[in-house]
Amino acid sequence: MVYAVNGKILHVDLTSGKTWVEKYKEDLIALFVGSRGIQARLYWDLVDPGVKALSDRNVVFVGAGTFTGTPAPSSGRTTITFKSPATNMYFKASVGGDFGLKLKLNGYDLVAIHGASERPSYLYVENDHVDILPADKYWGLDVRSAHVELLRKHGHNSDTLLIGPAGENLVKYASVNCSVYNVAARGGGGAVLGYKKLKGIVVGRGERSVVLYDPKTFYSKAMKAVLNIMNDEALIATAKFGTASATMGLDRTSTLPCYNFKRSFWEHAYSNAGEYYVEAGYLVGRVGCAQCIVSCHRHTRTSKYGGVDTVGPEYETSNALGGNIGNSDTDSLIKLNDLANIYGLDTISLGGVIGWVMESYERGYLRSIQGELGVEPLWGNVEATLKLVESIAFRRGTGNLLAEGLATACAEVDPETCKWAVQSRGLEHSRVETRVARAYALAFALNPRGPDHLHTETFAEFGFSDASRKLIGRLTGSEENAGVGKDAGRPEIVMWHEDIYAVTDSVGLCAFIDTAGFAVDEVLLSELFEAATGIKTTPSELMKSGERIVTLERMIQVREGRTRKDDTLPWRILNEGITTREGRTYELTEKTLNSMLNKYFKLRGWDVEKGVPTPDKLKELKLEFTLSEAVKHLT
Amino acid sequence: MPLVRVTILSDKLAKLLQGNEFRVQVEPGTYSIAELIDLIPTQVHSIKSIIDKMGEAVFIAVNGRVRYNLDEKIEVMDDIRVTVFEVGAGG
Amino acid sequence: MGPEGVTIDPKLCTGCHLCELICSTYHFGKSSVELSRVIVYKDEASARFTPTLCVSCPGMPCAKACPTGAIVKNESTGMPEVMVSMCSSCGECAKACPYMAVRFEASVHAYPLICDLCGGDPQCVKVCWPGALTKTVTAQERFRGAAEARAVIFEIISKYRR
Repeated sequence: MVYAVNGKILHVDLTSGKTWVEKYKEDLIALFVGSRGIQARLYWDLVDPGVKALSDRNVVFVGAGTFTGTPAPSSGRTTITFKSPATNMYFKASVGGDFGLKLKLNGYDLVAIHGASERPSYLYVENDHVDILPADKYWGLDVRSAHVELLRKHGHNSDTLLIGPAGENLVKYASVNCSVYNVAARGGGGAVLGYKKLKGIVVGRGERSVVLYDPKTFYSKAMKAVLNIMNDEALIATAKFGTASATMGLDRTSTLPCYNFKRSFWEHAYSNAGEYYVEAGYLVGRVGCAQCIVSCHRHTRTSKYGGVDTVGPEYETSNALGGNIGNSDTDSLIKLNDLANIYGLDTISLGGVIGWVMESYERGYLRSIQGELGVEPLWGNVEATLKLVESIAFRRGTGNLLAEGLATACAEVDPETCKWAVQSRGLEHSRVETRVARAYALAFALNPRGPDHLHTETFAEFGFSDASRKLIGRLTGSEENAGVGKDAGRPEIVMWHEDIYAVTDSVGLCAFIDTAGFAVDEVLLSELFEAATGIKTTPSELMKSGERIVTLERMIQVREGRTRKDDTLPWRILNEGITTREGRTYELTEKTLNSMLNKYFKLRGWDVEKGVPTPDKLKELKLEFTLSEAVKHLT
Repeated sequence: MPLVRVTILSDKLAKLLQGNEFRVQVEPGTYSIAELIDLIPTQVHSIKSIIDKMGEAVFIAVNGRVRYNLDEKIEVMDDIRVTVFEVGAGG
Repeated sequence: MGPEGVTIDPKLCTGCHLCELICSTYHFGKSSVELSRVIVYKDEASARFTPTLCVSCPGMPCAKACPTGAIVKNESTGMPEVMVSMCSSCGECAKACPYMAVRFEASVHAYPLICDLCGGDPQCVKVCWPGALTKTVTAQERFRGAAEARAVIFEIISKYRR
């Protein structure tokens, strides 16, 4: 008997129009915990290394977590897995909203989307009723409009997963949006669905319940988690001021990347801060992902730029389209965030691309773009930025090249410009200064997604709170290792975060609850897991499952061609120094990075030279099915 | 006379100071941020003493810009807005 | 009987559904939105949300609408209670409720679900950190909140009408 999950995968083949339900067994949960882990396991079987991302052989998996639909707080996170057209490798995206909750309450844990449709379609799911319906009326609509139209048809209790025009236009950083404003932003998942001509999925009211193994114990543990959250100092601030409340902490510690990673702090940083959105009256309400009482999302309004009423901006957006491009116009930030929301664009990649455009222009490149935009793309120029967003979403003029992402764009324009294209492996770098925050640097280099935070974010490295300093002390042997600008203990910090993130993602819990705030620890996590599923576990066994997932993801990418050379960071990060507000210059050389990587691989028990898990390690983790692949790379 | 309006955005600080909003009228002139803060009337502890105690965990914004150096001089001709808060989490 | 009950403040609802999942688990031992006595309405596109739940109208329109007299007042909580042995599953009580606070979906559960204050210690208010659901202080505020919730619900229903 499988508890807490439905034990069902809904398969949809858009080529043949067939849908079918696959029942899976409890041991999949025991080994792979939930959505992210199970989807990685399925990806291994269903997506060959030779498959092109924009092809009918790519598979998109959308899954709710093991705790989704239970009364565990903040456990409505949904995982979307696919081969990315930006990195040409396995990619996992994470998103909130209600879609995962509703999917689970309709009787499915995850949906696997195969093939490609000839005509624009959408999937409708309500309990046992599954239909592939024509989406001609919705194709071309922005996400918000499409959501409203679809709910007028299917009822206000339905919910949507949608792509916007950017996904339809195959922009390499087009997003997948759940419940309108919750965005699985990175890796171009929107483009994959756009190629498949799938506008999205509508999920109905749902009549199922989640049956817990031990409802009484689960209920009391869930209430404990609720109380812990309400008393966590970081989460209290995040609830009130959103994720952009991290901005000033980063500015103070010179880890706030501004002007395309040329600066690490900024006099106008406060214009991009969560507290400022409250102080200046932009915030009109808060929004939460399913089950989340922190509700860190911002409902904001401005009367400028034609009047905007939207959800956002988050921290990454606030910096990517704020300080990164020298933009202190907060009203414009709200407008830009709304455009990214409704067109379906990843704001981090968008900001990275625009920052590169501005620096390139400053250095004498892309001169023709001024004619196209009607205005020079100078630092902080909002008009140019707004026009660039349109040109990218709709692939107009130079926007067509920019829509391909930095890796392609810089090589096309002039390889010299790749020096300030802050991307590696095809993904633009997330919004933290990794030359100073070294745990972040190591995590970014190893991240299957690319130089990015939402997979293993070592927020504790900052040591802003007592709890974070305690954690660093536990992981590295000394609380003195907390704080940025340090090298000691980074491999240990990264390893723990990778493992707990894998478990956290897979149960559907929001990573801020146990790695940015510290309301749920490994003990509570394992107690909740056991009470939910009936699978006996301990904190270390659960973390071992996390290690299993991380190692499987590594093997997937090894099979796809990843080598140690890919465990890297953008050129600017490894070749230029960055100066802090105290006047100290930090350099993160390849040598330093490699030394951290060596230590990390040793700790992991992987082959240090190749960065490949060893046969012994794979057997230990019950990943024997990946053995022959590992052996291929180790001989 | 210009008004200095102080908003405390941190629950912890508001509790210590027993209030979230404070105001004081000052003569026009040049003040350091530390001096301005000292002029704020509070019931229990002085804002400055708490800020000193909490150190790097506290941030002060004056008219929409965060200032790290409390000795920085400000010209006070019109009303001023001061916001005091702590760092949050995000990524 | 004092002013017990749960007060709704729609402006503070962030749409998280945790109240529903807690309510259903507390009462049924299984977790579901559809088995909850508190009902959350959402318009994602405009970020407007509200819960609604029984606020114990003195006139008990639900009881008056019931053709079989299956709804009575629970003496200890003051809340309407459905006597399932007498309920014909007609759904008239749900239609009569001025605050859309009676959940009735026959395909999910044969009988209407009406807030019973969890017997006197309402669980939903314990988890609602945003403060959209709180323990009532005055009956007046409770009815005001329910009326506000009704206004939001009507807006959402009419926006998404076919």
